[in-house]
Amino acid sequence: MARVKKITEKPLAASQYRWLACMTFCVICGFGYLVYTLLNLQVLRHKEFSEAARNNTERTFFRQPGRGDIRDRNGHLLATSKQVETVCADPKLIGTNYMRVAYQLAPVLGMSAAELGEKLRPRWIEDKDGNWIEVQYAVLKRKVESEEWENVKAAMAALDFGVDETKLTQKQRAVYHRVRQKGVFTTPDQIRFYPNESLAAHVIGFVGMQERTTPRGKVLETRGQDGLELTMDSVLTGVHGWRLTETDGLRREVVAFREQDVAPRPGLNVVLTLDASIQHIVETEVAAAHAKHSPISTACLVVRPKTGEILAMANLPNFNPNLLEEGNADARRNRLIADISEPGSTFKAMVISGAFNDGTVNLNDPFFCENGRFRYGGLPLSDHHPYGTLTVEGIIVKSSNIGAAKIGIKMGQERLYEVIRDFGFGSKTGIPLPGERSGIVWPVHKWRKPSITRIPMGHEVASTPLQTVMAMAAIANGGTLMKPMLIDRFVDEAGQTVADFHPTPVRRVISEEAARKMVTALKSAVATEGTGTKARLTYYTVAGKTGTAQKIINKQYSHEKHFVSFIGFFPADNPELCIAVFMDEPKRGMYAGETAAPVFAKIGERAANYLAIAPEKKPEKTALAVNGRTNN
Amino acid sequence: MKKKPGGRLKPKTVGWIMVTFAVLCLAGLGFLWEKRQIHVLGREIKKLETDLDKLRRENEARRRTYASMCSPGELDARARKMNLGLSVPQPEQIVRMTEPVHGPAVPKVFAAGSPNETNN
Repeated sequence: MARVKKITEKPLAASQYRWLACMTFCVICGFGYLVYTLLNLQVLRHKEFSEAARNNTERTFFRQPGRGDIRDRNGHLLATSKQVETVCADPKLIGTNYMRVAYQLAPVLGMSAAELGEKLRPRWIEDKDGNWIEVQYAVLKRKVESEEWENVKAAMAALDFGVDETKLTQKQRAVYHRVRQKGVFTTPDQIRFYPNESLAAHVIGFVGMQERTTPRGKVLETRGQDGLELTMDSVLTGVHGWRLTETDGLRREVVAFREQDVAPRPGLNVVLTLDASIQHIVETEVAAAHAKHSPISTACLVVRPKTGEILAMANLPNFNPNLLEEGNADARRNRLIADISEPGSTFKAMVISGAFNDGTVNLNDPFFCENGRFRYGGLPLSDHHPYGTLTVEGIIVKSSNIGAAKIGIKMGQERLYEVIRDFGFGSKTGIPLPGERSGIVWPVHKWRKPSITRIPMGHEVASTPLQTVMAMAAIANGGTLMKPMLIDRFVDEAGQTVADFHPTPVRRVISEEAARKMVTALKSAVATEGTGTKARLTYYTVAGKTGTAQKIINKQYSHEKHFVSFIGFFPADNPELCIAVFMDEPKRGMYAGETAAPVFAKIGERAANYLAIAPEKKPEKTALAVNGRTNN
Repeated sequence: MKKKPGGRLKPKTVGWIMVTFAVLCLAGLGFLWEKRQIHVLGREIKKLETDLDKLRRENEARRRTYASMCSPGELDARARKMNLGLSVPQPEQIVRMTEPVHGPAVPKVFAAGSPNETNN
């Protein structure tokens, strides 16, 4: 109280009041400015500054999902993914040293220094708000293996800037150090790897890169381009994950500020019905036959008639999906589903089975084959050899065109058309591969008068090899047409089955009795003096049919160029395998019996051995020592 | 001169002030320690993630190598090269045991009718 009194007793001088007022004003102004700045930063321009701050530190990293594997029925890997790197650079950080970096990295990355220099050159881009920002991200090379990236890091560490760095200040040295350490970096990427190289390449297909825009930015994805990689793309491709986090000045993630971390969901593994070992057997035998007969193409298909499962599917010429740039587009075509041609004499088996089914003909019914020359609808028809009277079985065995034509006439146009369509000709089989064609079967009203004599011998219709094989498999399967089956199941990362596929019978085409009769005839075509004798197997009875179709060149049937095929199955009365061999224009050997049938035999022997199919015929030596015991 | 009763701080008050100050200091230190721990753990997590990724890649590489070595072509070539005299057994050399067949079951229902029926 005494002090207060003291102050009031001595009033301040006027100058002191002025000084105090001035100071108060300054403090108020200062605080006012601070309040304004605070308002400006936190309220008025809050969005702008918070975005700028976020852009400086916050980063969203896409987490690529692993693409699912493709495996054969026994779990052997046919296609898998490999982790690689995308080498990127920070042109802003590298600055004017970009050509030095380009010359240093060019030999390591296998690129020209000029190309690299162009990518590393500092440049500015305009963002969506019209602001110019310096580019800090440039992709130098994609799909770089880890070893190559280690070489890049070593090259960057040894980068010489052409200055004596010992004479530089610590700050200047730090700049060069940062360029060496952080100028070039990587982002994770993956490539597809096919361990068996060209094995089943036409079935598996290949992948390519595709850019997709997502709400979180653009993503470069691996997408299927052909084969199962394409048709099963949605199954094989997983779901992207992401990580929303912050980085420090050296691009290192500050884990403490990791806000969102969503793990990617890998794609499912696709397990096929293919058997890699049978595929290998088929491909080696096809390659040998291709070298021997020099055709334009050779193809082979192995099917289980009872289920429609495809065990092997091979085409030559083929390609290595690991080295796509080395192959040509023609070699990538799966001719078994994408090419159509007249099926030739193999077609007789389907037509005559239809006649058996209707009771129009029987195995021993005789047909006069006009001694090799027959005229119908104003056009001549001939056989390779002049035959007199042949039974229906004989027509199959000798592959008589005239005999087949006469059976066709007896069936009638409408019924013939129905049988052909029921066997699946003119419709896609539904195999899960891209590019399948449905073939050509003209409706009856478009037929010419001689068509009924031409169609039973496999002319005036066009089919894919797969359609013909499935039709023959239907005969082997007691008359039931099966849908070709290529996918066995989908399996997740933990090995759990997600989806299981079952054989699909399409329809009953002919009765079991009719199928049995046709099998008897087809057995004779291989076992006796038929066209397919070179397809015989030591331990099994084979039923099969050759096909030698003349190719149409300049709208005329060529006498030099043929499309040959042999389709057979064994053991004939309880078929386990249906094997088909196709050759387009073999240069050495004109007939299917000389070219395709021996390939069938070789594949059949090896495949039966591998699958341990119980022998049907008794070998010459009935007792053979096995593990010290006799097998009687 | 009369002394004011509250003029001097009581030892109890001083004690409270010191305790409060100590608590604040400890809280501050605890905050710093926690921040440091978060940073250290973050770095450790990152390192472990990097190591895990590296191990995963090595595992993948081995799996691919194994797959390449198991490919039928590779095995065939190796068996020939090593000249082991291996050959495929003939059917009469195989002893068959009767086992239940585990093949896919074929449904009895047909997936499609005749295309001629649908056309008409």
